Order: sequence, then C-alpha cells, then structure tokens
Amino acid sequence: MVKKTIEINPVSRLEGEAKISIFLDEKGNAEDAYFQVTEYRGFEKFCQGRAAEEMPRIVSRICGVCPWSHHIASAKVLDAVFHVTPKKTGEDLRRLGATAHIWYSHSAHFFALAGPDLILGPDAPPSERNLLGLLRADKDLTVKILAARNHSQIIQKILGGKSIHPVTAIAGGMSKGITEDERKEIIQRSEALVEFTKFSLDLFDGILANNKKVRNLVVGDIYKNDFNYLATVNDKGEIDYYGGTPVVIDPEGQEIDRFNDQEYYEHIGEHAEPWCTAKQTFLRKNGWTGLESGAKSGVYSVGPLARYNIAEYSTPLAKAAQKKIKDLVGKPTHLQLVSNWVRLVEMLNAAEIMVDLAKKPYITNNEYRVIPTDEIGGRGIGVVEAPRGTLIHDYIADENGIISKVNLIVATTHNIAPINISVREAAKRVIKNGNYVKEHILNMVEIAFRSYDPCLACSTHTPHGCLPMEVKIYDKDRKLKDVVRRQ
Amino acid sequence: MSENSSLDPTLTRNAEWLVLGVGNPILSDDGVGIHVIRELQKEYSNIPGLELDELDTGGLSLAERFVGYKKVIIIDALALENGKPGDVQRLTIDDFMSTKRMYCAHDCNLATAYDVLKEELGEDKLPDEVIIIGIEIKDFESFSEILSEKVAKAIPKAIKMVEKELEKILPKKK
Repeated sequence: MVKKTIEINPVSRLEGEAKISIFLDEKGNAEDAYFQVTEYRGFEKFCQGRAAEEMPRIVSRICGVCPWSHHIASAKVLDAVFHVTPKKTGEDLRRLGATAHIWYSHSAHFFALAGPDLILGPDAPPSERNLLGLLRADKDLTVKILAARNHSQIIQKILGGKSIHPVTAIAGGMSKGITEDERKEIIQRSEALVEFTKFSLDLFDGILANNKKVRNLVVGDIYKNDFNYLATVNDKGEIDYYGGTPVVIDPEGQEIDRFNDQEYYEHIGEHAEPWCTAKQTFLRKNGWTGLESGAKSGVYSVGPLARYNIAEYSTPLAKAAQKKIKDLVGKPTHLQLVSNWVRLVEMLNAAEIMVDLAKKPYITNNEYRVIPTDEIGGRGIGVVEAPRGTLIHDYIADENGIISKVNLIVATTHNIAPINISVREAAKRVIKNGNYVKEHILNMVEIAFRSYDPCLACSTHTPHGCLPMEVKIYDKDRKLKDVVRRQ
Repeated sequence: MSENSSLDPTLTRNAEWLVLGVGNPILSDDGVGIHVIRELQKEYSNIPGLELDELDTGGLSLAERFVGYKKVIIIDALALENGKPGDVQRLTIDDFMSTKRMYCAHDCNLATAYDVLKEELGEDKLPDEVIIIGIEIKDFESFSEILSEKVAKAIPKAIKMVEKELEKILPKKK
C-alpha cells in the first residue's frame, strides 16, 4: 500500500520534482522556458524580533547542503552589528571551516551526481548512473570517496562543534579554538584530502583523454551561453571562500564592475516576475534586460565556473590543474559542463588551503574571539563564496541587538536567470516545429540545470538513476499542450 | 586520529539501538521528528544500550549515521500521495527501496546510500532492522518552529509507536 509514492525529505524540503515550463512560438519552436524553484516562506518574519546572536545557528539550518556558508556569512554580519573585528586566529578558523565545507559539498555533487555520468559514461544504463553503480564499477574508488568524505566531515566537526550544522562562529570570531592535537589531526586529514583529490583529477583527466563521448559532453558546445560572471576575490585576485571584493566580468573576460561588498545593493538589483515566486538578481549597471545572455544583459552567473573565469587559484596544485582546463577550453569559458571539472580543481584548492591554514603558527592560540563592547546595532552585510557561488547576508539590528530586517541572496538566486536561459536553449535544440522526443527533452533539460547544482529545487537521482521531473509545454496562446513526466 | 565516525573501520558504538529524530526544526511540520525525539528524550535518555539523537540531513549522511547499530528507528515527516496530515505509519527501509520518489537533494537518496554502505562495509556493519515512523505533514515550506494543528496532535501516537518498537528490545518498563 505504501509502495506507490513515498517522499521523505530529511533535510531541505525540496519539491519532489523539478518543474519546468516551456513556451512555444507560432511555429512550435521553444521561445521561453522557466525552471520553477520552491521559495520557502516567511524567513524574514521568522527572524524578526530575535536576538542577532542567534542568527548564525538559525541560518545554518536553512539548508543542509551549505550550512557552513550561511553560518560564516551570518557571523560576518554579527561582527558589524556588534562592532567588533575578529583577530587573525578567529578569522582563519572561520575561513578553515568555510573552505572545508567547499570540499565536502563539491564531493557530494561530483561523486553522487555528476561523477557517475562522467566516470561511467553517458552510455551506461540510467539505473547504474548513480553512486551505487559507481561502486559496482569501481569499488576501490568508492571506498576512497567515502573515506575522504569521512576525513572532511571530521574536520568540520572539530571546527564547527557538530559535523553537519556548525555552531561555533559568533560575533568577534569563534566560540572555541583548536588544540595542538586537533591541529595535527586537521593537517593529517587535509593532506589525505589533497592526495585523494589529486587522484580524482588524474582519473578525470584520463577519462577526458580517452573517452570521446565524455569529452564531447564536457567540452562540447551543447551547453554554452555567453554570460557575465560575478565572484569575489582577494587583493591578489585569487579565490577566497571566506569572501572578498565582488568583481563582475563580461563574456569576453573584461572587468565591468568591482565594488565594496558592503555596497552590493548599489550594484546588484532584485527583480520579481509574476511566473516565478523567487526573485531574480541583475547587474544595475546593465539594468534588468530580461532573460538574455551577452555583455549587455543584466543577467550574470555565479559559482565554480564564474570563479574560474574571474579569479586565480591561490595554491600550487590547483594552479597546475587549472592550466590543463585553460589549455583545453580557454579562459573565460562559457561551457557550462566544465563546471564539473572546475569543482574538482576547487576541491584541490580547498584541501591545499586547509593544510596551509592549519599549519599557521597562530591557529592554536587563544585569540579566537574578541569580546564585543556595549556598542550594538546597525546594518551588517556578510558575503562569502559558497560552494554554489556568492552568498550575501544583510541584516539590521536595533541597539539591543534585536533583528528588524533580513535579506539573503543565495547563490541559486543569482543563477535563476542563467538556469532559465540554459533550459530554454536546451529546449530549442530538442523541440523543432512542434516535434520532439519526450525522453530527449527530459535528458537535455536535466543536464542543463543540474550543472548549476541549484539549491532550491530537487536535483537528485532516484534509486533508478533518474530525476523526477515534470516538463509542461505550452502553445503560442499559453495553453497547456503537453506534459512530459518522469517519476 | 582519535575521533570516531561512522566510517572509521575501528568504530564501536556505545549503544546497540539508535532512535533518530529527523527533520529541520525551523521549517514548520518538517521538524515533527525533532519534536517527537525531544519528548522521548525526557523519558529514555539514560537507558544503557539506547541512543537518542537528532539529525537533519538525508542521503549519504543519514545512511552513514546507521553504521554500527543493531536496530535503528527513524522518526520523520512524510508526504505521501493522498496522505492525510497527522497520519502516522510504520515503514521499513524496504518500503523506501521500492520507491522512486525517495530523494535527497545534491546527494544520493537514502536507499542508494544504504546499498552503497552495505556493499562497501558488509551487512554486519549495518542494522538488522531500520524502522521508519512517518508522520504525514502539511506545511514544509514556511519557516516556523510551530507545528500545524493536526501534526502536533499526532505526536502522542508517534511516541506510542516508537515505544512499541522499544518494548521489543528493552527490558520491561516498571
């Protein structure tokens, strides 16, 4: 009786299906396509009236896939609200946690979602294209993956107090430091992550070199859109997952905007459309120009590919790995599926950064926290580079530290317009004069949005390797013409 | 490396049985499993062999949490087709193996994760039995710590069903 449809959503209540609407023109070709995201209700109201210091622990529960990013962005806001600046130890412990989480989050996407498609190849049966299929095909690899994830989880637990939802970042730094023993353990485990990630990249490079189908999928131009990109960089122009100065480039790679993250709202606008409950962001410099790519558009993309296009990697092994990508596809690149490759490079970069930070002489000293004074209140803005892209937290608190206003711009919000464009372009390729093959639509559209790893809608494999999806196709009069489903 | 974890081959658990409340405590009815486990903790916290805990992740992380126990009872929110908010039912992991809709975002789903661990670690590392006490929910899209009425009223029933499972393994309560 219970076997028909059971949804158990243990973390981040995502809608059970990816819902896509495709609108056709008079000739029956795809004109518009929209990827529907689930927008949770009432977060601002939920936060209003709460003590600001509760926020880092609340926001880490918004979502189970990037709790550290929310936790750290929120702690950065509290530094401003409580008028306190963390010392180097506190800041670097936070940076270590944020960076450790980049590794962890990317590893789940790469090995559970993208990896099976790429490592087993697109011709493998869908029922095998999941982590279990990967295990059957290469047990040694899977054991290594799980062992590496375990290292990563333990590092996060040491830093965050809990393995999933960290609780240690507070106004002025961290609530606890690390001991010499913990430092040793973090170094040892991070070094293991460096080795594992090197191995993974070698494996992937080998697949690209030897498997033409995978190479065509990753570096072919099926999923290519010339977007503007946004990422934050440090003063050397390198990626710092703890956040930095926001920089925007156009599709040619020319810098078109650079601003203080505390003034993000003067550079990034938020736009609402009636068909989409989630807001979409745009570059104020270009204005909201609708769902178009190109240099003149207000649309921009964030995430691993944007970071690759804008910034340099700060560590030697990641730099060397990046060179291989650059030699093959150039920089900037608009090949959306290269983001899978770039994720692996970021994992290497993150692991190297973790080793470096854990080796800092001061990391175990007791300057992990600066106690705030009586001066409380005002507006605080915290920006970090989350696994999926730039994450912005913006709160206002009164003189008692009580929250009155909250605004969050998560990575997927920046990416909604690019996702819609990618889905539309994929639809244009598979729908010709009103004709299409249903399964083809599902596959092409799935690949189009999944490479963004969107965090407000389902992007998962089912036990049988496919994603529950519903694509609605509307005719030129916006009347529902067909529903293509996969469950 | 002293810290234990689910995948440490030397792992030994301090308990044989695990009761896990699963959900997001700030997302309305989604947190019902957490509400139930917090009630159970009042009564069952100090029983040798029994561990009670909260968890709000799915997929691989949820399956990893099972490793090393004889029996695991999960209390979680359910959204069944045609389900009525407040309905409580007992399911087994096998029910989830046969469904295509059991998912976890960004990760593999529980059923796949469970199979992966079973193949990798061997059956002896995983529980003989995984029971899911599922509570049908209404609202899981609004941020709130308060449950909707019918779901809140289902808590005593869910507790009773967990207790019924515990009776099978624990010495009789006095």
